[in-house]
Amino acid sequence: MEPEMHTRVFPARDAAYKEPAIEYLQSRNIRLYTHQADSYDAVMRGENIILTTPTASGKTLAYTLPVLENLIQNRSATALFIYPTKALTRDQFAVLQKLDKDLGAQTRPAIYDGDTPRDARSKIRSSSRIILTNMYELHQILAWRMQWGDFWANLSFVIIDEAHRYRGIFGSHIALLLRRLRRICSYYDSRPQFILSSATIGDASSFAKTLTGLAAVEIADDGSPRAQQTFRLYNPWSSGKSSLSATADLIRDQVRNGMQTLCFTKSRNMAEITALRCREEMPPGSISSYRGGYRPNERRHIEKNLKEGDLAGVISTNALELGIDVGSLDSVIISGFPGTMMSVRQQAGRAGRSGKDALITFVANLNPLDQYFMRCPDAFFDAPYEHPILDLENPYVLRQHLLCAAAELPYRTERDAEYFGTFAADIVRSLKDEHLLASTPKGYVYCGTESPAQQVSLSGRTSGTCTVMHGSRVLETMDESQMFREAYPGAVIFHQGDRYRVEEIDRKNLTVRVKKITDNYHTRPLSTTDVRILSREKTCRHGELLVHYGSVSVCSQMIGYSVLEYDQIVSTHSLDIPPLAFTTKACWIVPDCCDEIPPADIAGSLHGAEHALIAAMPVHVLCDRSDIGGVSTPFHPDVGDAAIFIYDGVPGGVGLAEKAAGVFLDILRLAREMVSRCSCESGCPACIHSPKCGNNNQPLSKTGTVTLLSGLAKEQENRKPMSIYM
Amino acid sequence: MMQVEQGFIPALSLRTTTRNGKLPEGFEAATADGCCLAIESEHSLPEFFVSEEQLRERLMRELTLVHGIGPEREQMCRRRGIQTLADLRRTNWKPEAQEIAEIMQNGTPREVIRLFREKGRGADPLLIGFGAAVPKEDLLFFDIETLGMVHSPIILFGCGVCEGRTLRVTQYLLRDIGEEIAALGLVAEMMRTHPDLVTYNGRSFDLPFTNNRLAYYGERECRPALHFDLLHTSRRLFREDLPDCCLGTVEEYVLGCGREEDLPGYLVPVYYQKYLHTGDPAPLKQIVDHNRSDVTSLALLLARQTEIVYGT
Repeated sequence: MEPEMHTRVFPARDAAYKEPAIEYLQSRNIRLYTHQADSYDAVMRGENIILTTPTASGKTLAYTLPVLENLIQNRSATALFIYPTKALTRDQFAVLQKLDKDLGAQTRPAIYDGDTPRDARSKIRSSSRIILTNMYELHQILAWRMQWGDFWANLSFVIIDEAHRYRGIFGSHIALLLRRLRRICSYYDSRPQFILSSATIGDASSFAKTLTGLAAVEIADDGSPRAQQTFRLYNPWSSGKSSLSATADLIRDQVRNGMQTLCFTKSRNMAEITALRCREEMPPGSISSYRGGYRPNERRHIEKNLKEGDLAGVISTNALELGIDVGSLDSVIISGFPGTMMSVRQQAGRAGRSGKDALITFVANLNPLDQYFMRCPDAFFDAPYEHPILDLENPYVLRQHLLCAAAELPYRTERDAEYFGTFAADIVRSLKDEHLLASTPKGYVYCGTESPAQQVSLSGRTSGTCTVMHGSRVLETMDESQMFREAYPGAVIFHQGDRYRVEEIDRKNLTVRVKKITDNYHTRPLSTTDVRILSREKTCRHGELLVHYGSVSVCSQMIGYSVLEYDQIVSTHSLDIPPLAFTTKACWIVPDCCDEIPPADIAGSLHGAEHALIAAMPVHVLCDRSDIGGVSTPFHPDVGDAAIFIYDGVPGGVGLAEKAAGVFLDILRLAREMVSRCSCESGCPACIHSPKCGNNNQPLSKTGTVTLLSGLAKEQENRKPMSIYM
Repeated sequence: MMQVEQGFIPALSLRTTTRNGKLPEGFEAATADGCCLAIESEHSLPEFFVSEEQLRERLMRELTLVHGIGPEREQMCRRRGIQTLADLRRTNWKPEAQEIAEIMQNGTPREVIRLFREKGRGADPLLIGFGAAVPKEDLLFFDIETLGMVHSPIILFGCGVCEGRTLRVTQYLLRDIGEEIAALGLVAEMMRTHPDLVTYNGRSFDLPFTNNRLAYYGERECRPALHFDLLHTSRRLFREDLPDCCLGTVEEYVLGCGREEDLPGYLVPVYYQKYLHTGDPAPLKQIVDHNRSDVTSLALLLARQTEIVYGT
């Protein structure tokens, strides 16, 4: 049977040029694309900009030219270039150095991050006018005002590359960090211009305004030439093949045909397992996996080999989605929907960099959303651009940044409301009551005994970094929540094709000891989750349907794990380890249409509806499936009835459940479509099965789910939502 | 908040059982930015004096300052009767030796110290001699107590100055964090009138920490004319004999005076936080006593180190 495949060809396009009045460009015969000229003009007019043209359209040149031009004209001006990772910083450093030399700008670009040697730091601060760094380093250095005062006083530009990465909880942290930077600059009377570069997103200028606090113009009109792109959506399940085997076969076929291929998978584990499958029949050293957690030199080695063509195929997590120059690739395979169309476009943009025709294949996973895209390919190809979410009032996040701000410069409630909002005043008062801030004639001063910056984990995850030790060697690192999910006793961790079993966990020192194994199996955790309502904050009325929103406490418990051989469960083991509990935001519904469902099917219907709703959410609320969690039960003690909860996966919440409550009907309709259009009989991974269900997808009832979702969606059509605040 | 090892907690509650104690006795020192508590005490000043003549004579004997003369060549020179930099005029090293000799004889203390530093000998115990040669009233014995974290306030500044045969220690204590700015102002003024700083690890800790706090409030940083960091000389002099060069260890070994009732330094933040949380000033006394001992030890240690190096 022929597998299901949908293809769309995006034609090649010629370059569009525009000639700005820049003498040295004309003398050097450099022509600018329209978007490059537009950003040059806007920056020279003193505007903040956000550049949203695609990968490989020459964004770096677009913003670096006007910055260098300004730094040439003003010999004391400085600029800060911020990249999301150290690897990308190193990559871009070479580009900046060359431009600086070509233009004779004498800005002495230098990298200043965690790897910069101590004795080089003072010289960089005093002599470099272009400093390249990352958000984590910026977070640390803001408090060193004595050392950085001169740099801030002359700061004219802040360049934020890959700005779309700063969304969700991570983005909320960054938005507040940038406000801290602006507050310090303002103390030194400098008002730097902000230049953002981003993947294509919806309403980019309002995103830029939320992220930086300053109005920005969007530059989106791409003038760069494009190669022809053939984009295929491939459903291996229609011919009875799993996504894993199909992806591995595709990589092997393409590599054998001389196509250098980059494959993106959705998880660390999948990258490893896919690479393992590919290696089975390939010459050694031609295929590699790539992901976060690897040691830096291991990662650099893979990047270099990919760029130089020594590696024919790399299977990566989204760690390679960034603009690291790994050279031109013939083909990209996207194995499973990465959660956002933004990621799909970034990942696809990795193919055809050299101007050659590019082949991109999306391999659908067996989950409702991926299968929905196979049934409705237009929904994939014509998907709208996503709107990144930021929450500047998240009390967890705000509280941490207020402490940092107060340690950087005395905090004054009236003056600093400009940066942190009026909501901050209450938090500052409670921090004073906790003796973390002291009121002084100069403002609030930090007086805790710990470094406030070190208490914050910008990426929003639990703060500690766990080290995985194999003997005396550091195998890799992972954060605490990954440790909870992946490093339970008995778990199998993959690393570059080798399997390691977790032998010992030291939670106090965050160390995991592993032992190398040769057995051919892997493990999958089984967990249960309880939700308790702490407070109900508002209720959205969608016709007859009420969607509640408020604070909840979520307690996850790892109850055991399954041992799998070739995707078949061979045994199940129980675990006794401490639970992970946190407070977050949730939306929930109390369905009253359960009467139409046979009593025996109610639990299965609620469970199926919960899965379908979570699967549909990433389309309407910008998030990854893994950012949200859900719980359903025929009787919840806090509501006294059946309930379905959908909650934010990070402590404090990041606005996902809140947004879902507002657009609940859209999510509901998509979920109903996905389930009712599925041709399976009693539920399958394509509709109501969840790939990450903690209860092994039991119980589930498909007919009940359809009845429930239809009942909920019925009568609610064409009504405007109404919010009632508590 | 109180992150102490379990074993220390009983000791902690044992020592601060006196509830509702009084603030240490002192007076309000006022500045334009507010005031703080100043606690004064007088101590006998140990004898230390090296005449400038004696000091420069000794420095002139440092043949190894000349590029190309190591310990072996120095021995060789000495056997041939070349004892001072001036004697090198008869050798091939004449040009450099003359330059160095000029600085050793007529250069300011700063110039001499800079020359040593350029030779990678900035911590040479010989330089301690300047601490004993400069006018005593220029010296400031300085030690701070903090909340244990670099971007958090300094809660107590200990300043010792020489008045005749007396060491007068003035400690500026924060009764609340709002008083830090006033205390910093008083300390900055103190550093202006007594420009030669004597500290223990002050080069990496006390001075930059104080300057960071000044910068935090938008004030100018302090730049002492000379800075004698006794930790560095202690390392040169005693490293072989001691397990570590903490002030306490060095004190016991060199001065022969252990501190019996002393609060360990790492408990200072815990005690001060306890005061902030409860409002009970009892824990402050131990912090003040600890700091005062540190300051008086600085003077004793300077005297002892001078004696060891110059045999006065």
